Amino acid sequence: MFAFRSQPSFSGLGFSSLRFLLSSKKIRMTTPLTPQKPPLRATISSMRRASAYYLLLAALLVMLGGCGRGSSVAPKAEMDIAEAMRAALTVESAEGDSSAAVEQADSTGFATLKGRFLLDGSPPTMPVLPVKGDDVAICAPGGAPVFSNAVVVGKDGGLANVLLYVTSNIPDNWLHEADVATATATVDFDQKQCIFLSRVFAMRSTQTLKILNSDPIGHNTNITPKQRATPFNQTIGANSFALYTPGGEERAPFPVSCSIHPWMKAWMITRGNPYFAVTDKDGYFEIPRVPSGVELEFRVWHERPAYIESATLSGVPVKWPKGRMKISLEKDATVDMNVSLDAGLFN
Amino acid sequence: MGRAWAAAVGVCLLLQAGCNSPEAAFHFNAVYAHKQSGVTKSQAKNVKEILIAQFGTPDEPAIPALPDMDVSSVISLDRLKMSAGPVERTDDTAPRRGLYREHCAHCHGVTGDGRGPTARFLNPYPRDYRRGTSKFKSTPVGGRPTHADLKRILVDGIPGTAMPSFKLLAADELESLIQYVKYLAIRGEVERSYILEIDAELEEEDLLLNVPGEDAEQVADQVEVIQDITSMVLSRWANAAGQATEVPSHPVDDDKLASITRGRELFFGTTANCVKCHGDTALGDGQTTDYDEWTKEIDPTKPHLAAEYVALGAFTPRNIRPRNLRQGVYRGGRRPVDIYWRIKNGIEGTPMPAAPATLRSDDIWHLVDYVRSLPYEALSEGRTKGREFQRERN
Repeated sequence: MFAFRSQPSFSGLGFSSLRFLLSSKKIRMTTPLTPQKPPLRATISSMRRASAYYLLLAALLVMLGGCGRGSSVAPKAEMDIAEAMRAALTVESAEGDSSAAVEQADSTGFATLKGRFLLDGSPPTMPVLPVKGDDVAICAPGGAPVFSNAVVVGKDGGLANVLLYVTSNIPDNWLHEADVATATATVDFDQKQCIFLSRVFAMRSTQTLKILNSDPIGHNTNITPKQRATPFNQTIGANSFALYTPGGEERAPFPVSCSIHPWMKAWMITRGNPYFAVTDKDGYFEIPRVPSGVELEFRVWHERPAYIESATLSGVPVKWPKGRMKISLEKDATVDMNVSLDAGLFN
Repeated sequence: MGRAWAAAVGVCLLLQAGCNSPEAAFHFNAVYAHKQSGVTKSQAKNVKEILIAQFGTPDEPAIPALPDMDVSSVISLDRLKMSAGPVERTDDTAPRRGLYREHCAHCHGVTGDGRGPTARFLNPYPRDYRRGTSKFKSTPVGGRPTHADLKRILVDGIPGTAMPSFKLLAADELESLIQYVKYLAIRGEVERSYILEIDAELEEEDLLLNVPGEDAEQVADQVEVIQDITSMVLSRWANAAGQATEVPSHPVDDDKLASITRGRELFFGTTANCVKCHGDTALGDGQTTDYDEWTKEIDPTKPHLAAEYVALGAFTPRNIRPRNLRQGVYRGGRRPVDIYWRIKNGIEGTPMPAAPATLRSDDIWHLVDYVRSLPYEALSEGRTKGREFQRERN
């Protein structure tokens, strides 16, 4: 009979070697290995003793190094807490639907949220994309270098491709009929000259995406959501299209790429409600028909910093932890936000 | 002097004893937590505890309880138990416990993270089950593998990789291992979703589940979030069986040569686009700078970021190579139907895309015929007949 040890995995080894270094230093500092200069007659025996100490030291190091497996980064789990959790998680949740019955403030009507994002400071330099292969004639006509469009700054420092979306729970009956009508619409997502024409793209999870290929060469669109939307990776022939139905909502944007042309990159999000916008080339956005009279939580995101956590809103510095911006709009109001972001966030 | 030696030997023995066999534990997915960046140490500990509450430990597995779902229809605790725990042999007969650690853990790791002791010496690296992503299966991208898909891999192995065949195991042992692999995958997927949940929703000081806690209402809400995530993951596995892509029969007119010729046209055309990655010669030398989805998570194109993940246990990133189609080695199976599935659905987790929806099933069969003819072309043999005879005369 034997028992398989918990795996001496790569992480285990990595951490144990770190521990090895730390521990060897500590021991050297605290263990009086050799007392001053020994008298001559004691030299041999002290050498032997020293070798014994070395063996001891080696054993300690082997122990600390070889045995330090298992939990790496997180502290060890406590079994009694886990037991208590098991009890809590196995209780029949008769009151499980209580949250649905929680009284929620009702929306009073609709309002418009619009505004502009500006970059405060000089924009980061964009790398040249590694456009290679036999598609160069189509992807980089004339051989001119193609720059990444990760950070696009337009007129007067307007910042493109900032994404805002509502994360609050929105009951169906809050939706304006114009938004109900478009719930299952088909929206376009195009690519030309081996660039996705929308760097950041938001859609409703109930809508259908028509992925166009406006190039005379083939592409494939690899959509990689993290949780509830369906992943997708399909070849799209020259001047053709493919249809994608996400079927689920995602909480954060996820990458879209093309395997044939690895420099092609975009970000996408699928949402259960229609309240989202991506700033245009000059940094402007507008979200119409937003429910009014209730506090809504937005997330503000850009691919470089991910969630935007600090900004200057109409001249006043604000903090948005995890990109959270809370706002309540009055009925029929049009709120204009003027947001300035520090260029340092985008390096 | 003697005392020092005795002490040294004594300590050695003591340490050896202490070192012998620490209880096996599932590793926290530190790499993914680093990716999401917003997970604190106490939140990580909390996730570990929730996972133990739901899934138990490597020695004592459990399956989560859900109010609206019969979890045992997706994974059977009774069956997977034979694979859990340390390897035990009561006599010379087959082990009745610890099958996973006997056959799988040295590559796939106790946690199913693909990081067992031998893993980093292998190319390709062993599969990390925790994404729930499976390459060789009958379901489309996004679908989980069916029971039959997993069984096929266990029985046939994966040619061209270190994954061997386990054909010699008894039927109940195979069944148990399939269940256990599903269990590890589901556990890993749930863990990743908890990490996402924490990163997206919780403040640094908040936990996913405050137990033992005072606020019953808060706990009830947290339990609902946890059960919701768990049920989302489990239902994907429950639905797999109904998602297998149907394979229409091969076109009846049996002119093989015509089919191969048509397949060749498609291979080089701009609709199917195979040539872009598999190359003009089909040696897999087209687009070779991409990565699989497991590797993409550790930012392989940014070495300074990748190094941070490697320090947390991820393996050094490697590019994924399009298959050399001239070797006649088919990882996902050599049957025509296997190759049909690879082309029709693509290979999830890799750059290999699904065929365009506009490609008819007959066309996919033509591609299958062409691909299967490639290893027998003269170019694949690497020599001409004339030379062969010359060498014999010398």
